[in-house]
Amino acid sequence: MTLDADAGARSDRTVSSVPVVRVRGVTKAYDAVTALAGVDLEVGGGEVYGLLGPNGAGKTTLMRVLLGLVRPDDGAVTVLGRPPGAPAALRSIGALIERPAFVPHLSGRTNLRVLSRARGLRDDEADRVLGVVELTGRADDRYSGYSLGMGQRLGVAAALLGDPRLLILDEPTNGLDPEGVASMRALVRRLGSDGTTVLLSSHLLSEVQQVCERVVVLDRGRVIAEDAVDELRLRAGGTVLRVDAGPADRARAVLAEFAGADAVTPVDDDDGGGGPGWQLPVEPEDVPRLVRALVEAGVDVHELRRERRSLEDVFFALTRDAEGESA
Amino acid sequence: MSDAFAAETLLLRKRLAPAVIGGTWVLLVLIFAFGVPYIVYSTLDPADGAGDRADLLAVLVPSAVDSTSVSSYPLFGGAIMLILGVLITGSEYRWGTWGARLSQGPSRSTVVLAKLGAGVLAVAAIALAAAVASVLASLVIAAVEGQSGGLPPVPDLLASLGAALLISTAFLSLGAALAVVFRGTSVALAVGLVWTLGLENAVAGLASVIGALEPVRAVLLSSASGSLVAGLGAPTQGAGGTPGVVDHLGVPAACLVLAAYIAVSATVAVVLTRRRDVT
Repeated sequence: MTLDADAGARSDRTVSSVPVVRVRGVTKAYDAVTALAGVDLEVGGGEVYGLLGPNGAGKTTLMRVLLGLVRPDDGAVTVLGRPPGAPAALRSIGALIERPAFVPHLSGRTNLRVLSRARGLRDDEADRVLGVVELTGRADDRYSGYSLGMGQRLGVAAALLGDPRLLILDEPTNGLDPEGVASMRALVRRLGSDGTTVLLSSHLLSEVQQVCERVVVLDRGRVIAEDAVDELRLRAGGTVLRVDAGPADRARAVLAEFAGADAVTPVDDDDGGGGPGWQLPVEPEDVPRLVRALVEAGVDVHELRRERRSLEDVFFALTRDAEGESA
Repeated sequence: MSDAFAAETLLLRKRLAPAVIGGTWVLLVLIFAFGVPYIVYSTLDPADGAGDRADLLAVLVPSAVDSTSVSSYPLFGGAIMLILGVLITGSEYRWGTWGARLSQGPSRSTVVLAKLGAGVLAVAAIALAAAVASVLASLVIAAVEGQSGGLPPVPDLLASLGAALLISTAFLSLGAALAVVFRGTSVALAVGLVWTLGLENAVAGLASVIGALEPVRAVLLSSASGSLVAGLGAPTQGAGGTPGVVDHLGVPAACLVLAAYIAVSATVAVVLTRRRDVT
């Protein structure tokens, strides 16, 4: 899939500091389960904003709140300056929440035309967005015959109807092949650069890292971090030391004694390192002391290098910390 | 409202349900309002059953088509339209499409009312098709039996069509509301059909022997529908007419009860859809 380069090029929107999404102290519980517990966040105009969190963190509930599908128990929400679910705002929002849902025995084109008409748009708008996601060739097939990836593309097409000012995408890369994932990344970037505000949730943290300017990390309905992606990576330790050494048990024992067992993270050794690998936070001035300790313990050091923490590292560190605090 | 209505009419036009239900209903009207009675008429002995033959033929010829074509609505037609109503709103739960439907711009109330509006359009088309089929069937019978092909006056034909539409809309609305109440099709269909085909008849029957139940019978959907059809001149069930045709209410009261069902059902569907979270 190569998503159309002109997808968002029709817009002359500019990035604005005026919040497109403003959430203040929002709580929502389903019976005894707390989905959102006092969430605060703001998304500026033209931002590509990532929503991260483990399963059950409250991401989808928050997205539903923004669309007015779920009413919060408490707190204040405005979307495009209006209460969530306000008809005028909804017409400027495109959304794909959880998984695409369409009438199974109707074609992709008819399904989109139904949504297009509900938005007061002409039928050819459905044809346009089908072209954007490269589904024109299968547009007249029944939706029930679509593969997972095709269904996902139809869901994205539905979200693009009417060239929305705010795009809410919940796991948009689900079921897409690698080419589709790359195309989705390019589309989101392009939309963002054209001034469309994008709120993106994804389990592919490397994708989020590449396309989002800011992210919020939710865990058990609470915001546990919110910042620019680069700031978050720096704040969470900046860099780590990657150590490939053996024998593994002896090396791990030395590293654990040096930095603390919780700070030592095993990493895959499929990237050509000379042996088992670990990451741990070590200040540059402490590296010689660590090397001496390893050598004195009879450990062979195959490789030492400084690595910047990825968003994935940050995510796991943050959610692990939150888990520890709540335990 | 017009955007949501345009969307819902397109959706309903492309769905199989209205065509299947409409086609089934037209076929049932032809079979049970004309086909079976004509077979009975044909098999009666012209000498011994002359009176019965004359009575039967009187309701099969074009001059009686206004009442004959709607006589099946109170019992069977209503149940068929209830199924259509259930499918209009209930299928959205099965497909998981309410979220998409309610996040395009039109308000929740507008979407539900647009669905009901599209449904009314569908039952109007079905009622018209059934009426046209009835006219054709009666003309064929008249031609075969050498009877007059003269149709009832136009106002009577329009009244018959209006009654069919009012009854159909009442049952359709009830079905749509039940599907919203039960968030799906299966339970709504079961409850709707058991109620309209079973419990209402049981209550109506008991009211004949227990006077205290008469006020309840007066507000039953099937009683009001049957009374409206009887008001058009169709023979009642007690007089050998179609099951469901009764004379418990006058025409104005029957129309009021049916209108109340439409209003209450639409209100229930709208209020519940507005209040509930869509998850």
